[in-house]
Amino acid sequence: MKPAFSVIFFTVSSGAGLGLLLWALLSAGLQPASLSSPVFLTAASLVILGLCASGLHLANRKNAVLAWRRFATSWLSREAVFAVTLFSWPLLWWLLPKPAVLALLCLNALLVLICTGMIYACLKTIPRWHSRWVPVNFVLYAALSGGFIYAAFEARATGLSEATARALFALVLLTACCKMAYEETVANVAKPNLNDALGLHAGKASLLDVGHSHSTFLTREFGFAYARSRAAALQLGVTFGVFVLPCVLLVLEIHNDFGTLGLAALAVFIGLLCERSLFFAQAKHVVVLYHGQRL
Amino acid sequence: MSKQLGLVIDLDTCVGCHACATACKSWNGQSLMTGGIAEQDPYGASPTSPWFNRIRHYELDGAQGGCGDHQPLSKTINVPMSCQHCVQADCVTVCPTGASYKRAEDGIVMVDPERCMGCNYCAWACPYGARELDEDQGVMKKCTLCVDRIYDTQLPELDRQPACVLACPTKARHFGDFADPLSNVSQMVAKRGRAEMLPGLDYQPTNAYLPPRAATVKAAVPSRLQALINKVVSL
Repeated sequence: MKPAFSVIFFTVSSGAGLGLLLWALLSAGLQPASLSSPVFLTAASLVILGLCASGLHLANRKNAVLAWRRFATSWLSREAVFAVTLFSWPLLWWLLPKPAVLALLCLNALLVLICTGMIYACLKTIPRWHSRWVPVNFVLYAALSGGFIYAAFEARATGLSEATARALFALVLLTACCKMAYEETVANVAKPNLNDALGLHAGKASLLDVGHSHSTFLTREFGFAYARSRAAALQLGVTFGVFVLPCVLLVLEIHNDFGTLGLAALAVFIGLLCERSLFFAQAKHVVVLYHGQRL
Repeated sequence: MSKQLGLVIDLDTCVGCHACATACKSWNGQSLMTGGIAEQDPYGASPTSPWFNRIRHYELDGAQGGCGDHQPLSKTINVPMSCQHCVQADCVTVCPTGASYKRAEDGIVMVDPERCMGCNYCAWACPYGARELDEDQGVMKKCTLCVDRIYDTQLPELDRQPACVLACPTKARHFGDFADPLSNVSQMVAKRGRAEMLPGLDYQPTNAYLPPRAATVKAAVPSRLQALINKVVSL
């Protein structure tokens, strides 16, 4: 699948913003004090920046306002609805008890992340995406990237607390485990071949001629693949950016200041951009079978 | 009772001439229903454009597959593919704006260009590559089963069929109502069966591909004479 930078940036940036929001609200025990900090402004900026980027991949942006019309069936529509309701809870600030409003905000943030994951996971046409681990990992990656930003802010304000450091470390391990479980699951899923695609089993099917002489929408959108060296470089970016480097910075406990943890947050953010690029580039759509490729 | 319109494509008789695709382009390129089909660099070095129907050519190597009185099925197979107007059309359910819809009265899957936001999500959900983005207009385009032909009472009744069906020189394409068990298309499928494309995804395509038939083996000489010859040769 073609990795559109706008979508990659949207999922990573909004994910980090929502993760940061969840950390700030939950670690403060849903007390309104957590709202007045620069943490909240950073979270809101990341989410809004991401949402703006998401609009860039639409070929016909004027109809984007219709995107919440099919809440009943479409995960993309659900994501659009929850992305809007996210900003509506402050309107209830004076009507409901404040912890209740913040709890709803948390729930809403979680729903946006799950919807983003389900947009990909619900597609039966892309075996690497059609897995329950996809939304789980989207939530965990968001919590991880938001967590390091939160830790950086905490280190600046009061110094990094033991509890935050431990929770963050546990989260890195959990995310790594879930990532491995996801890779294991999608590697072992049964993939159709050209015979299944044609519905003909009397003999081995192979492609003679693809029928087009130049690139088509289908080859551009679904036929995309990174060169092996590029994919390996991105994989290295994921391993070091998301897992190794932040852990090392966290465990060393020498420089638990704003600068070091900010660097860790940046490493996670860049690592996740690599991860999301690979998430697209490694995913193969069943239509490539008709072009003579294997899944 | 509502209809379920679709195509039958006979993989035995299709010669892969692409006449259906060019007839489709010719009709739909000027259709008010689809809003035309934009082309980029049409006379240049790398022309590209959406096609509602694409024909691909495959080889079936049945060297190991022959059995009994049938020849092994080894042949070139030409497979024209357009929207299958699936019963379980995920392209419709994933669409966030409601631009993609399936008509209740005849099962035709359509795109409303006035509502499409060009997010490509429906194309991702389609296993058959039937949807392509019109990059000039920024909206998704696809086969309408020539909805602006098949109901046009100003046309002679014989012409009220999709352009691809009318253009096919080998009569490999047939149009009809699959909900009616007595229709031409239902009868053909009842007789020949259908090649189920990616049945594991359970989209339940309406269009039916009639699988190629294996030719029966005809002995060149009567079997008793053959036995005699064998005996003489082995002496």
